[in-house]
Amino acid sequence: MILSVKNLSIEIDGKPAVRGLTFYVAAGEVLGVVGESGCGKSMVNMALMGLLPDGVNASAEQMEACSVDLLRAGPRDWRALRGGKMAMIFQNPMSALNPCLTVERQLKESVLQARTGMSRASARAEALRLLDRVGIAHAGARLKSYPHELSGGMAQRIMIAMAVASAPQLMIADEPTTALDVTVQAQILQLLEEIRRDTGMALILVSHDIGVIEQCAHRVQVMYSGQIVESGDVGEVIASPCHPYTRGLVAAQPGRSGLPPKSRLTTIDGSVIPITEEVEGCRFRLRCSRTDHRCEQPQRMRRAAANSYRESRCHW
Amino acid sequence: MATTLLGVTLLAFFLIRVAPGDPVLLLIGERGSDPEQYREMVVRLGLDNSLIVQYLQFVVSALQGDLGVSVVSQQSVIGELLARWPATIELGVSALLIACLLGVPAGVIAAVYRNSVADFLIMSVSIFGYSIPVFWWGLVLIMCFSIGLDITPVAGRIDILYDIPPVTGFMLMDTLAPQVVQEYGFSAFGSALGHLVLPALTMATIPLAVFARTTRSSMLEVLSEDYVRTARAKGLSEFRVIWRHAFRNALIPIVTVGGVLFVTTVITGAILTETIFAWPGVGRYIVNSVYARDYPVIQASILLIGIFVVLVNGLIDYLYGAINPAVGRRDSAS
Ligand SMILES: Nc1ncnc2c1ncn2[C@@H]1O[C@H](COP(=O)(O)OP(=O)(O)OP(=O)(O)O)[C@@H](O)[C@H]1O
Ligand code: SF4
Ligand SMILES: [Mg+2]
Repeated sequence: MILSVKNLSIEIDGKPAVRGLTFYVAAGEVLGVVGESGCGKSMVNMALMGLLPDGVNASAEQMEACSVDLLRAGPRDWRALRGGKMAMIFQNPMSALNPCLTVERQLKESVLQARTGMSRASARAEALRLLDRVGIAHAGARLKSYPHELSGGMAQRIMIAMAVASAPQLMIADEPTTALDVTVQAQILQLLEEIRRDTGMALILVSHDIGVIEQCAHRVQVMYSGQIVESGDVGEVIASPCHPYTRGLVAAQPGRSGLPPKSRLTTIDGSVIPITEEVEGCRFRLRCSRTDHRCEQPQRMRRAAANSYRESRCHW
Repeated sequence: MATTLLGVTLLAFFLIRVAPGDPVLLLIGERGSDPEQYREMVVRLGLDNSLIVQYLQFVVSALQGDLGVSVVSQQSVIGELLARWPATIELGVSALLIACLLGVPAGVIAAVYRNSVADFLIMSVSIFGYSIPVFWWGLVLIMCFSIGLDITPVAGRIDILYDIPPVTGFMLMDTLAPQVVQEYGFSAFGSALGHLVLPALTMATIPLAVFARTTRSSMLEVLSEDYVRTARAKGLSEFRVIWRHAFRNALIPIVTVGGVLFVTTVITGAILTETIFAWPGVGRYIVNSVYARDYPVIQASILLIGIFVVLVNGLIDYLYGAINPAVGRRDSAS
């Protein structure tokens, strides 16, 4: 197990936001995480990287990544982990690169972070190799570029190059293609898949888009308002979703193939409750079409099928 | 830039003429009661021509590098001003250096440890520094360090014991010239430095506060940017994240206020501080000339200050591009 998390909760300014997340990622596996905006996906990712903003705190029974106990990690351990076995890429590659520094300086920084003591010249050679690896043509010229001279797709490739500089065992990709054109989106996803196959790293792929998850992930975990509401094998979950929220997601996806428009998720009726708001019973109650008296009780994850590891946070 | 300078010449010329006071009377004093002598003086100063003609004369000769002759001293104005300029620059630059070297790191610390005791202290001190009147503060410093503790001199640039030939006009450099060091050792330099400390501190107070506040707010903004998160996600040390990734991006507003402060400290600061500390620079010269209604000196000073401001702004535009290529490109495109 490359990552295992038990009962992870996150509080924002003392108010519970993410509530008791339990999940794992196996070596070499792609875990898809899907859920609408504001349900806490990024918060969980930041907690895994030890990068939660001020005023936001995480607690858990267990949190272990790449054989490091994250609950006991000090600043030094975190830094070693981030520049080493774990890496992260973000939603908006253009703002994730430093506008004042050339690609060369930013990329070499990642290379040197992973291999201290490497000479400048071999760091440059390694940077060139990485650019080549992520499919950037004219790597030598690109090294001299500043971020504003790059396209979104190119910037995301460079972010990926920086992330793989340390040959991580786990990469967290937080909506890596949301800000990109549809064609570029497909290329970036393919690149991630190639790198994963070559290096055997595990990948947590976060997306709004259940189509993207279907295409790339092995397992999926659906989040709603700070909780996991359904998890299981991607094919099974999409073929026969158990939780009413997942059903809504899948049903709202036109065509079920190709790349549908981004606004799909808003087509589930009802408004989203703020993640920090307390709700009695099931958190999906206000939007659910299948409610009955049992929904007034808080729901826990249950086995949803006898012969698989599928789970759903609903009594049906 | 040309239009800015034209505006400056207009201002320089007309502003002083709408102010009350008659230069002729001031110059000939009591004898102004003699109308014959008064007329003679008016003609000699060229004040009998129409304002338009006077203005054109002023611009044309300014373009030729001739800013006229001081009514009071009968010396060439440009010579008098240039001789005093280094003293003013030396004081202004020292003050700004102090302000920058203390204010910027203080602002960074306040931002990084926001809402901490350090932040609170730094911001309180800076509000205090920003609100005190300069002349009062200068006097307080003199009371404490010169009169009370007797560790700094009260006035001037250097003890009268020393005879320093002006080479660059900058006392800190001239006292290090080989023949000076041969004659006095480093004591002349020490004396010059001692004379500089109090006026520079006085002048540095407001800019220091402004630097600290600007740096803090600029850093706070940058620290929440995505690329700072990226830098942390790379596993960089907090020191590197702050100084290499955040600080550089926070520099643009700091450089901007730095430029504004340079102009305001060197000019308005100079007028007050040089007067308090009897510092023989342009500021004190302007004040004396205003008392004497010395038109040529005043208009030449305003013109030179205008040129100085324009040059500083040009330098700042250049710095923007050097710090952040994206900003530089956007500016030159618009
Ligand atoms: N720095 C912060 N301080 C306090 N609350 C925050 C902060 N950042 C986000 N939040 C809150 O935390 C909640 C979860 O945010 P998060 O970014 O994890 O959502 P997300 O699932 O990643 O959404 P998206 O799909 O839009 O990225 C949101 O409701 C947001 O209001
Ligand atoms: S528990 Fe009730 S409200 Fe919640 S998802 Fe299931 S049916 Fe809907
Ligand atoms: Mg997010």
